[in-house]
Amino acid sequence: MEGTLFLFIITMVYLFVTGYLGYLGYRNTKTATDYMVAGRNVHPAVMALSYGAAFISTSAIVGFGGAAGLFGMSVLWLTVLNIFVGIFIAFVFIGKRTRAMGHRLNVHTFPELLSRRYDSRFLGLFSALVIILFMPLYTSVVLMGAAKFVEVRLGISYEAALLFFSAIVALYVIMGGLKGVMYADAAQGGIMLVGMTILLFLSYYQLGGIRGAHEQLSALAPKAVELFGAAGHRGWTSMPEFGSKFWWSVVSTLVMGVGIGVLAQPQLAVRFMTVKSNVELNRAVLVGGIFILLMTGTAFTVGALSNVYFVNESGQIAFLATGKDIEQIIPEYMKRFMPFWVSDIFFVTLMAAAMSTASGQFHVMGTSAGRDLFNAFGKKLSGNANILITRLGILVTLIASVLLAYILPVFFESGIAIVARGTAIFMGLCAATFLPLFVGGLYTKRITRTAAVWGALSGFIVSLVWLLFVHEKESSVLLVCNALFGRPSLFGDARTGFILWSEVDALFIGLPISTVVTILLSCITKALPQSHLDQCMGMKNNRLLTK
Amino acid sequence: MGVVEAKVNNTTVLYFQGMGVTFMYLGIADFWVFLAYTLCVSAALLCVIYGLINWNRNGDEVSPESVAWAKEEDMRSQDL
Repeated sequence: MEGTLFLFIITMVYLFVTGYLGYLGYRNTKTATDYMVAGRNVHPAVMALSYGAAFISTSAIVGFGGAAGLFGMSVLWLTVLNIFVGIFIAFVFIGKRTRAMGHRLNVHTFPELLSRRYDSRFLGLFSALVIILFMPLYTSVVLMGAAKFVEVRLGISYEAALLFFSAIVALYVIMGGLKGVMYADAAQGGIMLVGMTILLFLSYYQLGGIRGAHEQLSALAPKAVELFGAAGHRGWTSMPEFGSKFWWSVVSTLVMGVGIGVLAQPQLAVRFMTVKSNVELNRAVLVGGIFILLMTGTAFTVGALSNVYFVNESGQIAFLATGKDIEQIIPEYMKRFMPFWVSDIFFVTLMAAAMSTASGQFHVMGTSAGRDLFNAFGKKLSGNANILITRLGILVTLIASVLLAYILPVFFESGIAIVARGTAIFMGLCAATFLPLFVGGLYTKRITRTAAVWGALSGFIVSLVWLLFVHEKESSVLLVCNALFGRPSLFGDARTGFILWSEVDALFIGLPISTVVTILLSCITKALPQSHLDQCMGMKNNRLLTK
Repeated sequence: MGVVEAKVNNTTVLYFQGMGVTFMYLGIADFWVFLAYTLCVSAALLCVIYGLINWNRNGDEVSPESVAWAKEEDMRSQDL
């Protein structure tokens, strides 16, 4: 009772503070013009925390934390990529150029950026469609990650928990969270920082410190080998056996899919444009690196360590103690082994994580459905019609996301880490489709319109075919391969050396193909007019290139 | 890089043996996982050092293009 009251109070305080900050941001009209013109600076910590809060969602904490409960600390390679690629490379090498080009071309969305950079309406239309059709999958797993926690914390059904949580997020979005007021996002990032730091400290402390905790986890290795040795598990503080099923799952899907995929995320790419100058990006790298370390580093370490707690209590590893439901590992861990107040602060942390990410996603989906889609057809909508279409887009994608979150657990067998895989599928698809032309377009004038279009199409099509017919975790559920060829995956258990084809993630195939197609076609097709390229890259860049 | 197992106070402790020296890496059984663990911290440290070194580098002048961009962004935000 005492726990429920505390939960109710801090939830209300959180919602009030978030609402108040959003209101303040609205009232004080700290708009983009204010930042650029009136000399106001966004504090670098605010910029980094708001980016981090949009980047890290319940999917990372509950989904990937749960996956670490099964696969172990090898998932920490994703944290390495999250920090090095998702923060350092993204801010230093992508962010600055995205911002500069975005301002030069006066573009405000990811489809607009691609469309203007390559002077191609098709690319605008295509990228808007990819966002509208596939981002709801990512949003749905963000909602699912939070709903799984509500389910365990309040002891209600998953369906009721999902409805409850979706209602809160929808209310937030409707009440103006969509504007992405930077200070509200940053406050959410701050809450996440506090929640995860307490969780990390207590998890290690209760097991006798860092080394003691790791040693106890290492000592459980025989249990992992006994249960999953055939799939390549060698213990929670070891990498899976090279080339095994587990190795491919961890390395190709979880680590690379998300670690690389983050570079071509439409909702994150546009955030760089809101920054006043490069100085703020430099400073944000400092805060962002620490933030991501404490977010995903904590989630993955605690997910793996939860095995020690579960085994000490029940003799069962986390995966079995939670009925093979990977997404329940973190929530059950919080409920059973953390003081109620930590668990409740964590609940608020998850709400903050889901709201900041989901609001950014709905913003991108709404504008893709409204402005981007219609602009691609060459139609200029009147102000009111544009607002209506955008709002309609948000409503439809919101409903689609909630429905997917209901449906996905029904189709996927338990133990498959749906939340982590759903995230990886979307990010991998974005990377295979957009990464070569997005990053290439920032750095070189040589990529032609034809190369950009066919590069994107080839990456997208190859990835989809791979998901439908080869990558067994998805192809077996999507049933198309089974209907046409009578088996779940075309490749079965076929191997070429250490490559187990049915476990190789679509990103590993799609991204190299789209990169090669983009480069090859750029060599043989007609370049864009020099005046257009000068406008995109700026004269400074032009001088550098021609030296 | 080999791994040596030993018992300390009834707990299995793992050591890494390589380059003529024996290390114990924070109780982690695999060099590659230990590497990931340390690289997480190192990557964050890299971010901190980069941020500090470049704290004021690149200037913070606002170009006319950025001002025009900001005005358009505000107009669109009001639509939402």
